[in-house]
Amino acid sequence: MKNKNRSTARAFVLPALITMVMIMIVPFLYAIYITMNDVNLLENGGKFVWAGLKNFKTFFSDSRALNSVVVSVKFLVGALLLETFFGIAVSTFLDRRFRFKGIVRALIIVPMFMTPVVSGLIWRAFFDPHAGIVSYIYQLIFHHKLDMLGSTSSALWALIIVDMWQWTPFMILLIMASLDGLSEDAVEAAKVEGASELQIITRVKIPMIKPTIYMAMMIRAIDALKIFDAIFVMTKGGPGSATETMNMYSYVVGFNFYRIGYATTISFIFTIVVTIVLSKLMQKNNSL
Amino acid sequence: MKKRLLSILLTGIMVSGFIAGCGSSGGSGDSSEGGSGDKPYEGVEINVLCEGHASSNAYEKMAGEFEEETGIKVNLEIIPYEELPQKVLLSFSQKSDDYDMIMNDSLSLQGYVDNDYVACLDDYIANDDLNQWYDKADFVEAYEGMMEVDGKVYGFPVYGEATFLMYRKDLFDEYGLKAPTTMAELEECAKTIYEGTNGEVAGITLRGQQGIHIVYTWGAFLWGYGGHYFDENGKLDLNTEEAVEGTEAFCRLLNNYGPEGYTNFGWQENRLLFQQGGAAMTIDATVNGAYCEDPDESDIVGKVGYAPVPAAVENEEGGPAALAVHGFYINNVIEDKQKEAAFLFGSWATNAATQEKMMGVEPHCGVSSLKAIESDAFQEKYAAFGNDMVKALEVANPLYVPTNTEANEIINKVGTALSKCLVESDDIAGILKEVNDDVNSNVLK
Repeated sequence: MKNKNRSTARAFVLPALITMVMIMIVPFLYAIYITMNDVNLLENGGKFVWAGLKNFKTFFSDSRALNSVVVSVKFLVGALLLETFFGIAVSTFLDRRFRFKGIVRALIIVPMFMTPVVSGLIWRAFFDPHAGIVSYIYQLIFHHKLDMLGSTSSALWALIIVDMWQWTPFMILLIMASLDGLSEDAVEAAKVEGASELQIITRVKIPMIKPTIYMAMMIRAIDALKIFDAIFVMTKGGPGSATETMNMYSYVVGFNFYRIGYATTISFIFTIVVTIVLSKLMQKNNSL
Repeated sequence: MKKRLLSILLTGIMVSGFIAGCGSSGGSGDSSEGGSGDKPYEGVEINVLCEGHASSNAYEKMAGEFEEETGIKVNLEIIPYEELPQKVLLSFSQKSDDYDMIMNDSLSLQGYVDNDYVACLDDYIANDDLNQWYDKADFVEAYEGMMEVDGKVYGFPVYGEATFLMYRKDLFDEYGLKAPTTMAELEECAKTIYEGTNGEVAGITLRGQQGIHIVYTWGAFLWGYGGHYFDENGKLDLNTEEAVEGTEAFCRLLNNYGPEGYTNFGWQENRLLFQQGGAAMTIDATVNGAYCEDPDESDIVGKVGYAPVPAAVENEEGGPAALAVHGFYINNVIEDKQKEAAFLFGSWATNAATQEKMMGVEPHCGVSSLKAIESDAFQEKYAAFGNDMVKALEVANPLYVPTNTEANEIINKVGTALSKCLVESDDIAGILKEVNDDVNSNVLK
């Protein structure tokens, strides 16, 4: 009877399992196969030509590809650090009783609901050196216009600011939920011991919510590495290749150069690196 | 037992549903065999992929007339130009018959021909049963030439354009300037107006966004200073004094007298700034003339002068004005009857009478038919710049941008390098050498 139930259960699970294999494992294996081939839609009628590890060798000798790795890492570090810092700062500030706390919380998370393409377009208008609010304020203070998206030194910062604006609320949301669940005993004990407000935050609250911060950082890291939409509408990877992340470069290689084999290789390397880094981070998080 | 049967049945249904979902939905329009004598293609249906453009909108409105005349039903799918090349190539490389005919620029034609993606039209042109609308002699010669590869015709020129200099006559009069004919004069005019207005009006605006946009306008300076793209061996040849000099002039103009934010200016941004009176000059597509003279679009109607693109030196290989043509190409994998029906539509759509009519349906000055250009409708509608446009077409350079199979990759790489030149103007020669070496060793192997 027990065996019968088990086989029935298996039969019900089977379609979902087959679906998962078809949409996840098969494409992944197929992607590996593509990386081993030269597939250019403008050569040999787009046919597969066996290339072995050539695409991987090309990646490591392609200065633009390596630059895209650097840009991705810079963006990741910049966005993640700023979002974490402001996330902690704002949520600890809001971690008290005051009127309209619920409304403030609701307003803070509004940017999160915006589609990245829309926020990218809005911020592109904000950064516009002629009519943008950012340039206008900068001009009031420094008496000359600011073209943040037009300079190699500031374009990436502009993208980091947009990401920060949109995703710091996510950090705030998670950290605030975690702070709400903290036991008051430890805080009270610290107060009795004469700890200042800052000491309570840095020595008591933050250590206690560390696993949450860590998890939020990991989720944000995955998203920050995946960023594409905002870059596509704001800079298209420029000026030069100053904001060309791995995702963006992979898109260019695939859909401008039509070198599908090489584009898949870039995405594949990207996926592998991200998976390894994040699994290591998760292991560390689990040990906390 | 019942449970087991039920579970197997359910599993079977779900799996078969999934597999059925993965199946191909089949090909393009139906090809009926039932045509009558005067309408041999009656009942045939063709699918045409078009780019978002005034001409496509006009075809959408006029396709009924073609259907009435031939019995061929035309399904037009119009998508933004930026998305079109990818969609076309994915469809072509899969040998898909989803589209019987596609519209695209002539830059891609060599690649299509090399890969047998598009059909040669010579046999159809020679076939008296099909060629009633096709009139090769009526096309602007340069446009038609760009539809040919190795002397064979592969496309119908739908629309085309050249580039010319647009300048503000009122500002030029105010500052006592004449339309520039050399690059030195161009720079002098830009400087005078920029300084005279304390930078409130940019001396010149040009597209600076990396990719095709910057390549498109920079070409005027490459060719205008005596440079070219390829040497006699077909290798990229931008590591030259002429190319460096031209690029320096291009960067100097924009950095010193250009508008703020030009590094992100594509066609749209550049056009809008000029139309709103934010710049004294621009070099761009002739189609912009129609926008400058449209009271609904422009603040500078009647204030714009049009002139050929200036040049620093006489370049025997080609001039500083671009020539761009967009055409219809027939998918090579579809059946003969579909190809013939597509040929009929392509030749009807680019026929003089149709093109003349199109101008009344949509604002469209890029017509490819000489008769349409000479028509009263064209002269009436585009009198302000029509003659200058025709002059620009006469001297436009078909080699202005690369048109080989690797064109897209070269344009992207050169465009990225130029974008870098604009913001790091100290080492223009180094940046051009780097992209030149990269393309020659990795793309044109």
